[in-house]
Amino acid sequence: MNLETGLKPSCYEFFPVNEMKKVLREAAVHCSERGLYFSTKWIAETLEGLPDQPIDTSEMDISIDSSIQENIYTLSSTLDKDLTNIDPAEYDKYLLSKSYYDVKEFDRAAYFLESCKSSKCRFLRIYSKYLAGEKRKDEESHDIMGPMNDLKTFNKEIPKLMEEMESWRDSHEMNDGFLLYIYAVMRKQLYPQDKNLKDLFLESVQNFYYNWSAWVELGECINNKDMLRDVLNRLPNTFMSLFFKLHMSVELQDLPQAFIDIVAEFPPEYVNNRFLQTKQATMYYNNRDYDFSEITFDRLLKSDPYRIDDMDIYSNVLYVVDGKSAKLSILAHMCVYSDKFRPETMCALGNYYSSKGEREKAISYFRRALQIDQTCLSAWTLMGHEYVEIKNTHAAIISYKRAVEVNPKDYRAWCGLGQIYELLNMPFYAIYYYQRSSALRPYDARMWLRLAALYEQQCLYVEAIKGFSRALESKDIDDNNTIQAMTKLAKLYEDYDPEKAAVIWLRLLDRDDLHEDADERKDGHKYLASYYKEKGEIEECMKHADILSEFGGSSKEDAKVIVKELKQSKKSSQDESIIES
Amino acid sequence: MNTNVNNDNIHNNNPTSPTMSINNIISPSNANTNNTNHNMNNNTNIGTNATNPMTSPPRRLSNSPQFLDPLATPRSFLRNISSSATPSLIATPPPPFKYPQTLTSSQNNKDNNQNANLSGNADNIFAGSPMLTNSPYYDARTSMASTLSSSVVNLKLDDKLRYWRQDAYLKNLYETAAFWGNKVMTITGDSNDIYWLAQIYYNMGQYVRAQKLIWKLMDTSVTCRFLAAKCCIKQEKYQEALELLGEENPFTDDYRLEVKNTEGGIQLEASMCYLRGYAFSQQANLDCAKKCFKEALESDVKCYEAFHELIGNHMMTANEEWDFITKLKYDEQLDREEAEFVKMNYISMLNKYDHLTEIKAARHELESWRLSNNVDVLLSHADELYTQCRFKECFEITSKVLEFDTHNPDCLPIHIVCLHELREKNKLFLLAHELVEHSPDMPVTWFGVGCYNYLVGKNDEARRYFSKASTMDSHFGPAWIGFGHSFAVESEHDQAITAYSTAAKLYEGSHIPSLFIGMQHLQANNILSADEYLSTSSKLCEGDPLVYNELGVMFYQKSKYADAIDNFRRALILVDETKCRPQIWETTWMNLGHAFKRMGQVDLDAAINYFQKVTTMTTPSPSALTAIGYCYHVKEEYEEAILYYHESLGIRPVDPVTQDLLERCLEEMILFVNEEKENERV
Repeated sequence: MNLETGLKPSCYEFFPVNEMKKVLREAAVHCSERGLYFSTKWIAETLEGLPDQPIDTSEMDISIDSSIQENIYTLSSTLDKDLTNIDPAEYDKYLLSKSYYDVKEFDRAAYFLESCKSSKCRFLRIYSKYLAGEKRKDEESHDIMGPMNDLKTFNKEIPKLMEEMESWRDSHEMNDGFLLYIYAVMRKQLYPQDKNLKDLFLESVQNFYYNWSAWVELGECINNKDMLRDVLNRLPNTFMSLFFKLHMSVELQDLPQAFIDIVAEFPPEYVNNRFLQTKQATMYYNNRDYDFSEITFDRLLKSDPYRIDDMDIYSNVLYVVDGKSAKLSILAHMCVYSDKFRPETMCALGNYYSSKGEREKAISYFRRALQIDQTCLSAWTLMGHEYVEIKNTHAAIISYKRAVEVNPKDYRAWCGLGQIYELLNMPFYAIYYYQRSSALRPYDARMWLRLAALYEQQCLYVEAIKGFSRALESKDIDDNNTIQAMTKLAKLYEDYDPEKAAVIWLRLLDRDDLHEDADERKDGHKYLASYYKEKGEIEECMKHADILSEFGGSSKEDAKVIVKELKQSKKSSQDESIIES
Repeated sequence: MNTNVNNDNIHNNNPTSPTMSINNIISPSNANTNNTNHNMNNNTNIGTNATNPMTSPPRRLSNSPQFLDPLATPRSFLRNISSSATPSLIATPPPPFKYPQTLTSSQNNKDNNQNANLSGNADNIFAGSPMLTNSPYYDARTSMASTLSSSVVNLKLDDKLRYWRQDAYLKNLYETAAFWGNKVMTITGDSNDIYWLAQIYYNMGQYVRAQKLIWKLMDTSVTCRFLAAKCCIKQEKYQEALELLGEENPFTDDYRLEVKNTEGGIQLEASMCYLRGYAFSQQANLDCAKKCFKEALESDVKCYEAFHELIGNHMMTANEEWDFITKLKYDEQLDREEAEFVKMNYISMLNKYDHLTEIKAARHELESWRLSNNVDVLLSHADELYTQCRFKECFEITSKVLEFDTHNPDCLPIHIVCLHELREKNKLFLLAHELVEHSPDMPVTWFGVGCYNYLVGKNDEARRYFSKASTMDSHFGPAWIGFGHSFAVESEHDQAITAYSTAAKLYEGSHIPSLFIGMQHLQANNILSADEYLSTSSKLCEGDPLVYNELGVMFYQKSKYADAIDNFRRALILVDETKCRPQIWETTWMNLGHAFKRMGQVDLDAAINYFQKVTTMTTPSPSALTAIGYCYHVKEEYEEAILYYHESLGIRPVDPVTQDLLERCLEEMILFVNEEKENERV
């Protein structure tokens, strides 16, 4: 599906490289002043990815360091004047709080900003308080998958903060993109079902384009392509929207072509952008094009050897491809070397042990990943897979459920849930979960096959027929499955639509890869013989009956019966004609 | 203000404010000296003013040289004059104790010129309106105002002894006071000196001694009788106290003063009524107690103790309270400004479910008297906020109060309960510890400890401390309620009801105990009893949303959903008026949703609306989510239903009801969709 609906490449405004750098630098300062490290990182990465040839010497002094500092200084001071209008008394408090924030003393940071009015200080206060609440929430929640991990814990600061922010909102003091962002984040955590969330994030990104975290959150609120189209139409024409579009294309598991189309919209300077590369690799992985994905990741690592971001995906790739165990091991080592306590590192390690068949160990690493970050999607899903392997269905269900809670767009977890419930003989649950899964990947045959089988089991034939047909339509179905699906479909159609059944049987019998002695052939010829018999096409009928009898055994008997019936009917029809004449 | 006037009149000497305050504190006891010296004082007045037609006995005149400078001489020292009178008093067998004869107004007495019975006269002054010169503040000032040293020098020994006694007494040096008092008593044998010594013993906590000492004077002097009764009460001999006081107020309407009592202190009559009431209440004879307290207030509106007992213990229902307090004879007894002042003070302290605007107005008016930072005014506001469930704001005020009035016993219960409501474990723990350390003899201390334990879920411990608090003071209602709650939490309905019933007996006019009893009956599925108690509760108080919520629940359980909805709505309207945070009434919104859910298909959307409101209030509650899911389920919007069930299970994974519903919903959805498609085919 192509995402270019109503938006032409020219719609997105790209500045010339130098201009762009200026904008991004400014934005990075903004984000870092507010302690939004993730966004700062993203901006800086993008900034660094730009080619550095056209340096304007007038702007860059000999001593680069000081100039940059100066630059930042002037920037921040102008920003202060322009945007936040921070008064000097507050500025000192801000500096104090920011330093507390930087050393992760969140409550303390928030305390000293209590009376501040400028939006920057307000943001830092709310954000610190929120993070303090998050910290406490994490400490409160029990061991991952422990016996007490049944109850979800909540961030207790949020209701208070929200109440306060709502009063600002009512008095129109919330025009700041950052404040809107943190408000929306808190709201999202509290009421994930809220339909207005994406509007809030939209408002935030429209206020300040360069807060990548807000874009990511916006992306998480979008569940399908219709919603995305709607949102894309409302986006500002900044180049950030294009990045977002690209991001969403990967999130919604678009096909490679759609992705490439979007990449083509970027000016040539962005080829080396590491964000683009990562997304590309992820996209290939999603589309099960593991070789390409591996290549892309390799290239990425070459330019950024100590990278840990997204390495969980790379480890997944290496895990799936056979014979890459050594590479996986090296990746895990590299990650441990860079930072032992990152969820991505833990996932890589978990994958490594899983590939060695050490399931328990793998699980323990995934659990550690989750202890560090409870919203680590890969870890939840992978842990679910491991639990399935060791037949701990209960734990697997919990893992998968948490995974879809973190991100309901994760088809693997939905699919995993379907599998488990199928195993547990709870078909309706299984059907529901497969439905969710197949809604996310409508072209994936595996889910459709399972779904159709389940429908058939429940005697829901109409749905089953639909399922098998969808499975056959998709591109990635393998031969074995095709034959199976066709057989099932043909048999299902026998009762509903004899014509179609016959067509499918014929197509199936024509296939070269169907074994000569396969049972499917017997069934096919038997059906076709009786089908043509009913239609009165004697020659066709005889042909199939002959082939059927060649199989010997009961098939031979069947063939005889059919021929006999044919003769009788012929006789009776002759009789009839005699009587008529 | 009154004291000032007096001072100006007599001494041309404005006492500093500290003296004033001391005067106020000790005013009731000081009054006695005046009384016994009444004649003496009168004499001085006569001497100076010559307005009083009263003639004085000749023996008093023998001391007349001392009257030459009455203004300079502290009158208390002139008491020696009466010393000669006392022997006769003691020698003559006291007449059988009777109130009425002597208890006409002092004016009358003077007119009658009945000086034979000195003590009778003394009582007279006491009960009647003290005249300017007999102001109860008078003595205190003089004894404190040792300023008049010149005159001290000229005094006789027993006067000096009296002076020392009085001075030591006011400085709380009771041993010293007792020593010199004893001396002067033996020397003079004056009944006033006996009375004073008894007073000192009383303050030293030696009640038996005090009582014994004034035993003989009791029949002749009401004041002494009063003190004796107080001693009895201190010894917890309530029956004896009642015998001393008489079981009924002997001062009937005929004798009630119609003149304004503008300068006077608290009327002894009122105090005695109060004491009688107190004894009754300790004997658990609450009806009589209530009557007595009411009498006390009727005879003197300034008798705060009686007011405190009446209101603090919820002896009257809200309406009764309002009628009684607003219709007291303020204007008859006091000057206009004072009357208004007292009235506003009282009104501000009434219970806060009704007449809120008037109470607010009263508070506002009090603030114009520069009382905006007064503890009681603040407490009145705190109480109002608490009634409206605005715990946070209430807590701010009570914290402020406690900051400048540490361990104020009126403020502490509300403060503790606020801490409990705000789930401030640490602060409550600290406070409880402080209280135990500093005032282990207050019941509220142990109530606080109990609350802490209740908050952290140690119900057994909590019960222990609540019962400790209630044994210390069986009239401490909060402890009984807490005791009941600790059972209620464990679903021990019967025991909880017993505890609440005790509270209900103590707090006759309060709707809260019967409300809680009703709630327990509801939970125990005892609809009939619940109905009874809840309607009693709603009759007692019409302004509490909780009552309507519970009534709604009751109707809901009776399957009268329309009535239930009515009641929930009423509760929410009341809640809306209080402007408290809506989260506190989340349950009522939930209930409303459930009631609508039961009303049938048509009202499902309304139900969903209400549940949605609940989910957006605080952290989403799984039950609300399940309820929304169920509504959609009934509406056959399966997709939505499943989403909500899932979300609910995400918060509380092991909820069998939701799990069951989800399974059915999934099944129904898939079958339903299939059926539809089959139909299309056909």
